[in-house]
Amino acid sequence: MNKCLILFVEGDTEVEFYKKVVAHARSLHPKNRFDTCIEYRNVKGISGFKSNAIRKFKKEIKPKYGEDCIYTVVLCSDTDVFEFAPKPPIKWKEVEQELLAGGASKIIHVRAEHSIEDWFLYDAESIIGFLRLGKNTKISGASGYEKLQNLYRQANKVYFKGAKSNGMIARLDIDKIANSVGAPLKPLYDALGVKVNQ
Amino acid sequence: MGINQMKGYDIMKIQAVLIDGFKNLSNVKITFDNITALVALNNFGKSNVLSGIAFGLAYIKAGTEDKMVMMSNADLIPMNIKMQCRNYRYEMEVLTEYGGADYRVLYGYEFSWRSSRDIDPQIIQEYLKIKPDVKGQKYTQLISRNAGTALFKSCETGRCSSKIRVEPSELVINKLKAYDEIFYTEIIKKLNGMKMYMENNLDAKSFYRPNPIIRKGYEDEMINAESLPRVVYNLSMQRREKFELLKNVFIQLFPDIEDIIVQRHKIGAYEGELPDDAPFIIANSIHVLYVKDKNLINPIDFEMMSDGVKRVFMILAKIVVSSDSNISLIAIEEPENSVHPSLFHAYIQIINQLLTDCKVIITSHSPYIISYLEPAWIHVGINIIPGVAQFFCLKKSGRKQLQNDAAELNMSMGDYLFSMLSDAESNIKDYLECDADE
Repeated sequence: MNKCLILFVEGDTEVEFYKKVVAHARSLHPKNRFDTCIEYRNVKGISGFKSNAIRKFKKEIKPKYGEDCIYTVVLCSDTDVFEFAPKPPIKWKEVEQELLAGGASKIIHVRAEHSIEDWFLYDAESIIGFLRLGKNTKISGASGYEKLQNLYRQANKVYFKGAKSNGMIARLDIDKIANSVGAPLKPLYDALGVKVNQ
Repeated sequence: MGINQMKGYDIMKIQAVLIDGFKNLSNVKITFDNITALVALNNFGKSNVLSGIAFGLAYIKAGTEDKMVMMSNADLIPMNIKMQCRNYRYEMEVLTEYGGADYRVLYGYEFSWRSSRDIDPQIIQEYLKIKPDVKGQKYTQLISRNAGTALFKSCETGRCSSKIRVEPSELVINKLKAYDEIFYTEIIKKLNGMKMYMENNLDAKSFYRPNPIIRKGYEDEMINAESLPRVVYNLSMQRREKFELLKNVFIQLFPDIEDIIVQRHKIGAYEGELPDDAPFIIANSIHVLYVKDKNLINPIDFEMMSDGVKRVFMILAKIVVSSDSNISLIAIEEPENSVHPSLFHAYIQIINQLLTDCKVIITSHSPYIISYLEPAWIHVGINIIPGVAQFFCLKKSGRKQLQNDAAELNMSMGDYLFSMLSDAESNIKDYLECDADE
């Protein structure tokens, strides 16, 4: 029976990041390949995470893989809500329930503590290199998101949620980040059949 | 230092304004966040709030004769039965650096309109207070004026008791500009120089046309210039890094665009002489903006882009140049106009990031945009007295409740708010800082 793992993320940068995470997981897999198909969907948009995720699951994923496929859905999010996030906040329980009712077999949450930008900053050196800033550039800000914004500012650029990374993600050392992140990524690695030491 | 802050203008950081007695506005208090939004039905008075603030700042800068004209402008005098004879009142709270510390400044004035031929309008109240921006500090009165007397504080240790003679249509802060010896002269000068930019050009097309005609006095103007290509050209010459930033954010919003090119073309000399009193000059060059699109073989004139793209670029350009233009507030009427909703999230975040000490106030009919904002940044216009525009912010408890109630109905916060606004019998007042029985 076919298996499919779908990652629902908010933003192009996140799609790029999770592609790298999955590629990293593949490199750690004993067979260097998965027994499941992987799909990435950016569900950022005017209808909101819930509607977009359900629409994409029912109208794009299921017609492609069929009713018999076993679907594992990975919902990727930040634990902190940033100020320009769509309001009201997402009710994850409702998203889960609707996806399960729609045919998903399993739902996994990957939640970045406090935001995915905190994870990127585990490899701040590469970001500083990508932005062509001096090696001794100070990183300041109250949150990972603010720190990344401040780094971009220093490089005369802007960083915002949902933006295209334009090469930043490609520069990241994902091994370093995955090791630093640890537990929050474990459910994803488990679903992919990869054992990681925590 | 912010991304868009390049030289040392120490601008007045506007925190709040109060306007009363302007068109149909009644005691409208707006507290500013980086982005503040006004929502209300059409023809309610959202634009009047923006005009009322612009009027209040323009009045400070106007000469005595111009002030008389402004106070006699029949188009601005309240006409609502409930507001007849209401004076114009303006108050603002600003933050500024003074003597190496942050100070909070409260300045306000009130004048009577010329409501009949026989009664001259006059300023009847004016005050200026400052305090260090630290919790627990009290305001020190620097100017105190009523219809009969005007007093100011002439030395740091004394009281606000020195008399000053002012004309009925002259503000004390205008007169004190010449008093270099007073210890708060820096604040007086800054108050006199405060600026706001109003972006209410829903059709941006005309700003993209190459135009050699320049209004006199606007030769070096950036933010208020009528030719956007000229502004962008000057930006590219004088502030290259800002030009690059503008291109960068624009391309992030419209990824098919690869480059923005701005060129200056010499034109033949104007034959004949313009009269000395002509209100404009004719430059010997024009500027043209081009767009290089991934899917097109040649760059095209920016004028050929869609209305939405033109407006977005114009708004971003104005925000980028605002920090060099000493602007405290940018007012944008319906930034969503002609723009696809899928861009709003990035658009609003980019606007926020381009801001430094300057604030932005928008009017909006877009539930999408409103859903991306913090409820505390939204001011809602509702009629308590028929025809009178009042705006209220959301109660602390109302902010959370609004989101919970929207979620319960599977609606976005913007949709929920707009649905209540358009329903005269809704319970919208329950969420607002207003007394329902008022």
